[in-house]
Amino acid sequence: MKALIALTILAVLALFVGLLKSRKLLLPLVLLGLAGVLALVMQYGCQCEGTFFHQYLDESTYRNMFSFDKFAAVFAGMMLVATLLISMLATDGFIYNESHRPELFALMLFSLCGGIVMVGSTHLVMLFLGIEILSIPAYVLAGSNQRDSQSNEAALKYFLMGAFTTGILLFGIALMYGGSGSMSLDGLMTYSRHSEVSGMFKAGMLMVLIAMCFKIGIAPFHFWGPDVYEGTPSIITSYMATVVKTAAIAATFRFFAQIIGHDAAWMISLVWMAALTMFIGNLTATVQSGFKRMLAYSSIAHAGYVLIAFFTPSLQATQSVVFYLAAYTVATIACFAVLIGVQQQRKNDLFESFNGLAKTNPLAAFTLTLALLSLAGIPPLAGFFAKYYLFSNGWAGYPWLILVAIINSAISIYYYFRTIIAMWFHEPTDEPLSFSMLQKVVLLLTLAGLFTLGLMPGLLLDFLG
Amino acid sequence: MGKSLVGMVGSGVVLGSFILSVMAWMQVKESGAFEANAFTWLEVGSLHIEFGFLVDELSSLMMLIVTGIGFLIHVYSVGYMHDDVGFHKFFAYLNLFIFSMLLLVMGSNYLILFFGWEGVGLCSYLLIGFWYKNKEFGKAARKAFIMNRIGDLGLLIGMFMLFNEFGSLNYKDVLGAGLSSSYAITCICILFFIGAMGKSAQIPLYTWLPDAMAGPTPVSALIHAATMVTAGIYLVARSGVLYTASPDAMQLVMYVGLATATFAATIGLKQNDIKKVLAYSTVSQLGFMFVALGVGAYTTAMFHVTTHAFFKALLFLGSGSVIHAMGGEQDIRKMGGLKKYLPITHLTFLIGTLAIAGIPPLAGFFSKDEILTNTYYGGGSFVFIMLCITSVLTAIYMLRLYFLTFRGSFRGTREQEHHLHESPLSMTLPLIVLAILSVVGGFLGVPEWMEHKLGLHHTLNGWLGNVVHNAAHPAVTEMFEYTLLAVSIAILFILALAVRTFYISRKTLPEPDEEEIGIVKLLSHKYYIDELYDAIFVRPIQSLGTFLHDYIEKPVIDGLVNGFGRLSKSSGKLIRLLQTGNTEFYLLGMVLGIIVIFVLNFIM
Repeated sequence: MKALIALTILAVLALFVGLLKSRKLLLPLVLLGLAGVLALVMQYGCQCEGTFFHQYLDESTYRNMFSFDKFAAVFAGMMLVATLLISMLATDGFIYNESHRPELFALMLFSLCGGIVMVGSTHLVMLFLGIEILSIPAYVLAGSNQRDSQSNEAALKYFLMGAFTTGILLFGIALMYGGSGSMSLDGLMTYSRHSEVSGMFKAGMLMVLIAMCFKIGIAPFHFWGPDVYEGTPSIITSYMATVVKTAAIAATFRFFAQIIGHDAAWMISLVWMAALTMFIGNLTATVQSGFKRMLAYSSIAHAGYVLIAFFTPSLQATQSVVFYLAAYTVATIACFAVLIGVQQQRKNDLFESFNGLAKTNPLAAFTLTLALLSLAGIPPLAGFFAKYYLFSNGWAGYPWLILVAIINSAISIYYYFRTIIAMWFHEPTDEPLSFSMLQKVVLLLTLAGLFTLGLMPGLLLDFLG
Repeated sequence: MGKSLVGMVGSGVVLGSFILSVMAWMQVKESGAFEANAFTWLEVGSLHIEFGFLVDELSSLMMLIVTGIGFLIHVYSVGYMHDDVGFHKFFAYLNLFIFSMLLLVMGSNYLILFFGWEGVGLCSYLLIGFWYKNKEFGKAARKAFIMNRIGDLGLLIGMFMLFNEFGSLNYKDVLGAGLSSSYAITCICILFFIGAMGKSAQIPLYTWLPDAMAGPTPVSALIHAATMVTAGIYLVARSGVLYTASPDAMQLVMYVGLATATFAATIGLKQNDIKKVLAYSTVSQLGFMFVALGVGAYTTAMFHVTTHAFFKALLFLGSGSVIHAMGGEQDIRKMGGLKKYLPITHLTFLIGTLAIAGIPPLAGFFSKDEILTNTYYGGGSFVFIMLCITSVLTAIYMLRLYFLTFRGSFRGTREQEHHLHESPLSMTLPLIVLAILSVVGGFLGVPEWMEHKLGLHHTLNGWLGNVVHNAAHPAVTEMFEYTLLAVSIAILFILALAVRTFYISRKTLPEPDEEEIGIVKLLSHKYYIDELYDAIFVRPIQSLGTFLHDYIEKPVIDGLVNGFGRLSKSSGKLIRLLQTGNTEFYLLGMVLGIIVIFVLNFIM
């Protein structure tokens, strides 16, 4: 909770800095502030003992609405690290809207607050509040390049789809309450396990689940994803693809893995959706001609893989979700770091724009190659171990789904390699790109992350218990 | 760094690891297998994975082959790649390959093996596409990678099942336990074999290996003949205990191996590219090894891996020397009479040819003889006869290759003839060393009936016996062996004469591509298998992608573009964007999704 308050204050301070027009102060403030909040969360996370989920039954703490347990701490930490890295890219990423830079930072931090509320929420109302706090700044951010019609369109689309989902979510919450008489996770779990479940509750739960699937981007509710990702300025897309996605998956996992994991009837539609998501994401990614749209589809596919953990609720499943998302986040940020450079200097994101990058910008090419290999699940990088751990835990649930996932990861190699081939096997067609110091630091950090998570997964897993 | 320094460093480190391998081998000989755990990679719940290494008789044999032949090929490459602009890169890839291959054979559990397995796959991909400016080569590289991935899927799923079954991936835990045959073990064995099919180029995943000849010749020798392609054999031999528990899986291994051996040998009869002949010969010889595994003769398969590594590396390096002299020409119809220009290459190539054809007492004779003997008892007469016929085919295509290349008169251009020269010492020296090994290598595994006559022992069987055993079979009668020996020598002699008469005395040449008819055309087009795969797999998948693109992407993207047009005209009319059909289409999709989910949950 302290972290949440500190983060909000940080966002407000960023706005003040904007007011004072002390431009140089902004980035150090945000970075230091985020690092400080991260330290608070880490310190708290280390204190949490035992199980992941700890419900505060004690009424005096937040009245059963919110639980900052280990689960919340881990995901909050992950989102903070992602935001920290993205902020370092932001010097170059926000170039399209110089005059509103402080506001953009502030919006991002406010949105992050919503993400933290989401991962800690143990009550449907808090979940709803978290989603809205996360989403509304994100709508604005998507349209922050107001001179670009694509950005405007993305914002509008994102907002319309979001409004539609909010309707479904609220209706679902109402029905769940109507059925069970409770809105807290405890109450819902008790109701779903012990008594005869009413149709109303069931319908409500499906609606909430569908709304969450929309937020995560699970097929057939993924349509908005590629359009919005493509139109949104890349720096914001990187935020949406990592932080927003992580928050949505984590919150859904907390609410549903424990309820649906005990009843096959709940699972079956989700299992099919997972398989569908993997296929749609991967197959469509193979025919893209732009890097960013390819990443959008690949992020859909990755969300499909993560769903596997929902079907075998256990400590290992929770760990595998955390690990998978961590690996995915690190690799995705590396991809976007390079993409932002390419887009600004080549004015497009076609695969041809990456031609010969290995010769002109070895560091960027090397990092991007490893990030893509990690996303494809090639050892010894983070993504391989993440997939291995996720799949081997999921085998006990639905083995055929694991087969589907493995086949899909094989398909994904095809499109990840297109960029790698362009970078290493084609001659450069253009001037070398220039990357700023901060961008290079981000590249090196993500590179280190990919190797550390891959070679010493124990570091993170031990922390998880 | 200068080229000579790069070459020295590149070869030097491999020599270093060879020396270390010899030391490891001596230690194993002295005090048995030893395990070393670098660190505990992971310990969570039931999952316990060591980043550990196991050096026993089997892995130290592989280590010696990999580093020994690897070193010779590094030295050879210094000469062969001397004028290439990618010299530095080449050595970097080659060293990375040796590293991955050592990881593959030295790991103490299947996960480390898988690491190496993927690593060598990556190196193979990089090296096939080494001359990436040629589009075809790039395609060959991708083909190899994709086919190998199909095999890898098998291996990976097999590993999941294995973990599910035994709760561990360590060789010690899995292979040490007493096993009874079960459905799960058969599944695991078959899945592992699918992995081996990809890496060791067996039907139906063999077509990448001939295409892989696009890479530089030293690569063909090291990766696509001597070491990496035998990883599949190593995997099956390592898992021998599992296979012994599953007779069904062994049958499958035997028949796939037999089919591949025969099939590839017939294709080899009518190839006119010097490296393609050797490539199909490799596929065929790998088939021999799998037959041996399939009848339970694990150490025999490893024996053939060893001898094959000697003579096939020799043949490939010899062909590299020929290609070098011919200025890049690979078509044997344009060669001939090279004997007098390339004396060392000629002599060593002849030794390699005789060794693979199975002339006693060269290396190939002993290992092939052992495979045939084991097949006679373990595989039934049909398999035995087919394998004998395939051995004859092997001799025919190799002799054809030899005579067309080195005997007769030169058929190339004057310019080429002027340019012909023996290769530098750095290339001929490895040839000589490998030729010597191809001559004496067979004495590692002297057959039983010769043991007391020669006062030698079957060193390899005794050596590997601590890890895997051959399936027992009745003692071979001397009569049988003598007959086999006499018949094979007689047949080879007759064949050599016949091939010589056909191609040299009568000066018959293989016809140009466009004049081929009937069975010749079928063979030289490799039974049209590539075309078949293209029609069955490649094109449908591509059209699925195109379908998604045309009917899902296009309407959406086009709609978007149209949307921009209107938007830029009057941004005030934002609302019209909603009517372009896009967002409605999305909403429609989502609502349909919701309906389906509700139907699934409430009505079904």
